[in-house]
Parts: sequence; C-alpha cells; structure tokens
Amino acid sequence: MKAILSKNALLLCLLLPFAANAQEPIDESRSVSANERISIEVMRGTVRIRPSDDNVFRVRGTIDEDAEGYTLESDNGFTSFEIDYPRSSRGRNWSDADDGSELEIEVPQGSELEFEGVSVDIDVMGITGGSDISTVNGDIIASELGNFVNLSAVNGEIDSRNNSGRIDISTINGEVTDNGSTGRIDYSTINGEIRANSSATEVSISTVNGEAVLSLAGTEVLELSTVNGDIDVRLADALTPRIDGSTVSGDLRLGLEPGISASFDISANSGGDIENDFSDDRPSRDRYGPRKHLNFSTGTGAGSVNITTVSGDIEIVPL
Amino acid sequence: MRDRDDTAPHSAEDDALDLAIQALPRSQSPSRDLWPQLQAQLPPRHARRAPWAWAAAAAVAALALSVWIRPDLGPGTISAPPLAQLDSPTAEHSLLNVYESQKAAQMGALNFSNPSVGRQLAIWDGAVQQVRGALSYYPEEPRLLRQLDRLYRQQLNYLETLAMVDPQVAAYY
Repeated sequence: MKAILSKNALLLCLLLPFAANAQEPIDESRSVSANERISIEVMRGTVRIRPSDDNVFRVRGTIDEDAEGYTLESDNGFTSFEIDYPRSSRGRNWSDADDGSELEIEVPQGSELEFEGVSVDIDVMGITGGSDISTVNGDIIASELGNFVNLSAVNGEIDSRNNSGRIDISTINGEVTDNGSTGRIDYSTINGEIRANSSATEVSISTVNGEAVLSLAGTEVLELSTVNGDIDVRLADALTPRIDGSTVSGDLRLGLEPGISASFDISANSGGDIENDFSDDRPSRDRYGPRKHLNFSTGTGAGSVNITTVSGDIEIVPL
Repeated sequence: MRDRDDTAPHSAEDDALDLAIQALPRSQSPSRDLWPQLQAQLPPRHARRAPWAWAAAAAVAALALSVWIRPDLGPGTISAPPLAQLDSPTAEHSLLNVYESQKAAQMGALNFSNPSVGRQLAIWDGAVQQVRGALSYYPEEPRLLRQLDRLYRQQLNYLETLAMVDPQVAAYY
C-alpha cells in the first residue's frame, strides 16, 4: 500500500508542471449596456467576436497556457477584459500563437469595441458602435462593422468585408483586402499590397512600396499616393470626381468614365511619362527643365484630376 | 541744395512740371541715320577667333558630353545638393531642417537593430533625393514640396508605429 501511494505521489509530482501550463477554460458573462465601451487585450492566440442578441458581454474558450489568469471588470458602461501574464514575460516573444488563448466573445451590437493584441488572429463581425482593432503579427478579418472603424496591423493581413462609416485600414508589411466598403475609407501600407472593391464616396490610398489595385464605384473624392509601388485604379460611376495623386517613381494608372467632366492637370517633373488615352492632347515639355505637363478639360470641367510624378509613369484611360 | 521731400504737398509749379512731362513724347527718332558715322569710328574686327574662345567652347562641349555620358546627371535621376550646401532659406531647406531633426530624435529613441528598418528608411531617403533633384529645377513647386512633406511624414509615422509596438517584438520580426 505504501509503495502504491509513493508511486502515485511521484506521478503527481511529474505531471504537476504540465497541469499548471495547460490552457485553462473560461466561461464568463456580465450584463452591460447596449452601447457599452468594451476594451479587450489578448497577446496571442485566436479571438472571434460576434454581436450578442442581448445586452451581455460573454467570453468562452481557453486562455493562454503561459497566462496566469485574466481580469474582467465591468462598471458604469465600461467593460474591460485582459489576459494576464507574469511580469517576467514582458518583452517576450509572442510568436507562438498556437499555444495562445482561443476565445469566443460576444458583445452588444451597438457597443464601442477596442481590441489590442500582438500575435493574435482576430475575426470580428457586426459591431456598429465603432471598432478599433490592432494587432502586430496576427491577421484581422473584419466584417459588417460600422461607425468609426480602425483596423491596424504591422505584419498581419487585413481582410475587410462590407464595412461602413469612417474606415481606416493600415499595415506596414501585411496585405490589405477590402470588399464592399461604403462611407469614407483610408488605406495605408508601407510594403503590403492593397486589393479593394469599394463604393466609398471618399477614398485615400497611401503606399510606399506596395502595389495597389482598386475598383471603385461612385467615389467623389480620391487621393492617391505612392513612393515606389504601382497604383492601378478603376473608377466607375463618377462623372465629376476630385482626384489628387502623387508618385515618386511608382507608376499610376487611372481608368475613368468616358463621360467624365473634369479639368486635368498632370505633370511629370523628372523623367516620368504621361500617356493620355482620353483625348488628343499631348504633354508639352518645359523649355528650360525636365518637366512634362499635360492640361486639358473634358465636358464642363466640373471635376478635377491633379496628378504629379517625379519619375514614375502616369496613364489615364477611359473605362 | 535741398533734399526732395516726397511727403510734402505738391505746389502749383510741381503740377505744371508734371503736365509738361506728360506732354513730352515717349520716344524720339533722330532726324537722320547716325549709323554710318558711328560705324566709321569703330576699330577693324579680327577675322580669327582668339585661342581662349576655342578653349572656352571646348570646355562647354566637354561639360555637355559629361552630362550626356553620366546618366545620374540627366533628367529622371537628378542629384540633389547636400543639405549643408543649401545656403538660402528655401521652403525645401526649411522642411528638411524640421523633419531631419525630428527623424534623428525618433531614431535615437528607437535604437533598432533590425536591418529591415534601415533598408526601409533607405528607400525613403532615395525617394527624398529624387524629389529634391526635381526641386533643384523647380524650387518653389508646391506639389513637389508637398511630396517631400509627405515622404517625411510617412517616415515619422513608420518610426512612431515601431516605437509603439514592443521593441523586442518588432526586433524579432
């Protein structure tokens, strides 16, 4: 009997360290207001956020095996949920997302959501009170969000679907895909590519090295900026748009409605070419400098197309 | 002799003088052709060009040839003068002064060892040089100045983003 007990004690001692590191289950809920301000911080793992049918904040799943617990506080219209780590893990490498938290979170549809993570993939849908989602290395899937929508990653990809309102999407190295957005939208990347189909009335695209291919409909104000990346925009259903574009050495191709009514002011300051398939007008070259310039108007000239390049090529074509 | 006081009220004499001046014709032609007389007084012209003129022409031709041979001096990749050589307070100079000091301060605070950060900043530096090259032809061109401004803002935003994420996380990736 004594031998059996000591064997069990030994086994327990061997298993205890593993048990302490196992992913702990979590199932918590709090009654909150319909427009609750909710803040969530999860360093690594996978998080899925959906709108709840009732005014409840609910979190289920398992928490990171390296976490020492979690903090859930809800008071006076503010709710915060955070996975807690030992102080010794500050500055650690969070890259191993597989061992991280796996969480399903429900929040009221009208709540204002703020989410922050490092190596965490986040899938969020249907929150209309505003969403500010940021991760460093994880990917973001964001659909049917409304109001102020801010999606940012450093290395992760961002997939935006049917979002509306004032939308900001930014990455450094990740790729951006956007479909069905409306309202105002800003896309910003350094090296990441941008692929978008949008009906936003105001669109801004900024990239450094990344390539951007956009198909836009009904956009009234369009800003384009690139350093080395190429931008290809197809703008339909816009007869008097206001377009401002600039590139250093990237190429810019702009497809516009054949019936567009706009004044065109295009300049290539140092070696870039201007190709105009819209009219018979051809660029003229400065007598005492390298600049080429193309000015012409179509229709009543109500809209404006102002584009400048240093050494990139500019092409304007009818759709 | 008294200095004229422009602020003093005009007298009747002044008014009369103004009227007289206004009545004068704007130009007057000589009553006869003066050129033959002037030409006769000119020294005879040398038929041969002086040797220094040929040397000057050769220098100009050599300079033109060097621009043609050196693509970095041609349009498209115009080199910009170093910041230290800018002696006048142009808009470009002002932008560079402000942004370069901000950039240096941010980089000093970051102290990144990740080589990709350096490579990324080098891309912006190259773009800045291209825009400055164009500005050397068109110093006050607002769209070029705006581009320069944007390039620096992008760099500062980039550095700010890196500073916001945990430096060790960023360094790892």
